[in-house]
Amino acid sequence: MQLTSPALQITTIAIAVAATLAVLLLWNRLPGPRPVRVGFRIILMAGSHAATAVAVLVSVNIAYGGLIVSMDDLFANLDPPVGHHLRHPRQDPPGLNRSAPTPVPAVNRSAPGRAP
Amino acid sequence: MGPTSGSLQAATIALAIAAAAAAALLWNRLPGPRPARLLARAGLLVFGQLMASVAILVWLNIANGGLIVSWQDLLGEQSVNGGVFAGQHGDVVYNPVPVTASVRYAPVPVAASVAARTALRRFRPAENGFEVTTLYGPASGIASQVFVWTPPQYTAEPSERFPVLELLHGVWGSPEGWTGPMNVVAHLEAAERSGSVHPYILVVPEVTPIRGHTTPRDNEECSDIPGDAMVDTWLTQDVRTMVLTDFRAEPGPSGWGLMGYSTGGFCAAKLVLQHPDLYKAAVSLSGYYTPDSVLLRDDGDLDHADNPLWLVGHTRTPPVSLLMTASAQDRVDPPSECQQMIAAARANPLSQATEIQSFVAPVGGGHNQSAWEKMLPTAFSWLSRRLAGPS
Repeated sequence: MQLTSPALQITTIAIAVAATLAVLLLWNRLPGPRPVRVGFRIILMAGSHAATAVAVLVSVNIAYGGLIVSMDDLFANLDPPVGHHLRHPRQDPPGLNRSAPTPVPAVNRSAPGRAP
Repeated sequence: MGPTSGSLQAATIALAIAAAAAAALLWNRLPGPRPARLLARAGLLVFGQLMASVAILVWLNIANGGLIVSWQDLLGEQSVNGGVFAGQHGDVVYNPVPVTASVRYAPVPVAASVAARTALRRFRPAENGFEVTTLYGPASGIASQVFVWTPPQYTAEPSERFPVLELLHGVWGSPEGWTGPMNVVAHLEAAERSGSVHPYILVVPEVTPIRGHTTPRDNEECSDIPGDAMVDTWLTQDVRTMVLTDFRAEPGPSGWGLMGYSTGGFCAAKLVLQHPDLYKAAVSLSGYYTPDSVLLRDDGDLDHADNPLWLVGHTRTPPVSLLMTASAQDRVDPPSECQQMIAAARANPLSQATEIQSFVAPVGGGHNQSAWEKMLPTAFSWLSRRLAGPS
């Protein structure tokens, strides 16, 4: 998923606003006995905080020119097993190092092969 | 209470918790008429949410080594009017002081007939006048984005070829770091009005085109890694060939410069030393000069072959020019890294053909685009004294 798209920015802001409004509207309208209501309120508060934080982070990321571009970046394995590449990189099991190159996109390409 | 201080972090966390607790406890105990109570509830809630968000940002900033070190970095007096470095008083002082003020190279002869846009490659408009295309690189097998900006002179002078600056972003990062917050087009156009800066074609390729290899720890750092990916080939052959095919760009090394910030600076320094047949000059904005990524560090050969500090210290280096800028406030890549490079080059009799200079701004800001964009006017005029103009 692309993390730098304006659509995602708008969506996250909308969710944050909705979550905040939900807290304001539902706080005194929650059903159930007191402990259940308290539980709901904690979920509402935590959810609205998380939604706002996500919206802020997405906007800051975009403002800085896309530090983190995709969800893959976020969940990249930052601590691969020791010695997984390098020294003998050719012996690595396929797929460990990286995914295959993205397929050739369907754009009008210039003729390759001109020497630089 | 600076942006990296523990007291700021503690204060934002305390305020976030206090606001959330106050909202929960006081919700039905707030005085005043109904609209006032509603407003007070919303105020407490939103204040707490924003404080929690700020606390996360402060933590991320500190966890990444202090990218933003002063409030000036955020509020920043960015100068797009061709001024020198903010926080730099007086003239720009290079170390070592250049022996010859101007190094000029003979222009490369080009064919008389030069087509406008030679190929049918499709570009989409991007921000700040850039165009973007998806390039499948035949030499590297890598497919990724390349942003290109042509100066107004490019359309006005349809028979001229233009010099190229290849701009490399940092890691984490993306080409939009150059096309957006660096304000590179505004700085270039402002610097050009001074008369001493060339109208360059700006080319901003993806520096981390390999999925899953986009972190400081595991990206290729612009190198060809056997068994992994050929990012050097992508940047220096595929991107270059596309630019020469689709644009009226100078074909010779005297028309090609490299500039990058942070990891992009490492890459610029490395690539200019490795490819003197392709590039004549490079600027590293707050770069570093020994590999960071395990892909290079864990391999004895690559750790030398793709290591600018090792190259200038131990090998015969080519007649190219390298400017390293740094900010004395930068905690991630401090000026000492430039001094190491200069000391290593000075000690190696084989590296004397290479012009290596540094420029340290005393109050240059932290490790962020606000600091680097202030280095651009200096970088453009330095590059233009070493690269050939349009021909």
